[in-house]
Amino acid sequence: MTLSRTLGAVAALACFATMDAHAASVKAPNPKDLTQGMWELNHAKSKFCGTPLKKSTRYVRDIGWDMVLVTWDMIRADGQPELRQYVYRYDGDKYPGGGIEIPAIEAISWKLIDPNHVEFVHWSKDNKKTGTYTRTVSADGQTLTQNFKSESRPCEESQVFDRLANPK
Amino acid sequence: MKSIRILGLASSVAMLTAGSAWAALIPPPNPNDWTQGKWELNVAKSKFCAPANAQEKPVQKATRDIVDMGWGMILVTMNTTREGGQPNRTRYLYRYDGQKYPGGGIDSAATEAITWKQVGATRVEFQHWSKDNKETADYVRTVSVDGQTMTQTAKYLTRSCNDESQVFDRRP
Repeated sequence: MTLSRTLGAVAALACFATMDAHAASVKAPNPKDLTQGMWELNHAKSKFCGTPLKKSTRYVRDIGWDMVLVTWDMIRADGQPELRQYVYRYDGDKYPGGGIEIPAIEAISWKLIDPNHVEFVHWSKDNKKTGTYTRTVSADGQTLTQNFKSESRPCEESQVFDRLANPK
Repeated sequence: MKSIRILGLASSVAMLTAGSAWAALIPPPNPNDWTQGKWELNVAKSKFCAPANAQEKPVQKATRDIVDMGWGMILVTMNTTREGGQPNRTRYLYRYDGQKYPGGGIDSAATEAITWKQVGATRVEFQHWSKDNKETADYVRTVSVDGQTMTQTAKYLTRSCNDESQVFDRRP
């Protein structure tokens, strides 16, 4: 009787845990590109080359005709807030990398490998590759990992983001 | 002697006037695309079609800042104030590459796309397209020879009005 009660309690707990996990999961807004949506940097799971941002969220969304807009809201290491936006298409063309309101010193070319993988390359004004990035979304769609490899520095960075609910 | 004095005075006045006119000229920031720069709508010189939305009030003030973001991408920030209303900001971007770019702006969901074509340094043509790929409007922007005025004409293919003309003055 005690064993069956214990088993029942464990099953109930497992059931609650599963329900809780499902309740917490956020649906990706675009099944063809799981990198889209709202993301928040998880410092504990990330590895940084330099001083990390204090806070970093990214809202990645399709604004129509295959153009993707990223709104990057951050609090820098010095405590200053900064908002950057940039756009791209997965067409191999180079897009300004500095952000919409800031003169671009680098360009970025973007490639959608599959719904879970995006690769992008940074280019200098004289057309030299300066860094390679990959974004990988986990199978459950809840985590995005951005890996960065610099062409000029011996450092590999890995930033992990947790999916948040999409803004209304 | 008197006539020489008058001629001298007239020439001084002419020189001052010319100097003042030249001083007021604002050079276009990009000699390859004169539509770039800061512009303000000259409401008195413009002619508007009736708005598609009957509730829409007439434009009281409008500015456009057209900036090259690099790598051929152009950003337009449009601030519009309608009668009795607050300023409303719209931003959109494009390249002169014939591809369709979201027309509604990057801050709201696009209902139309726009294709852009540069025809010389002083002329830009662009077409609006519906989601089902039908052309809805035809626009031309032309900058005057002195670079100080930009005129945007519109022909709406889905409305009866086809002679809208918005005139903009270049500002610093």
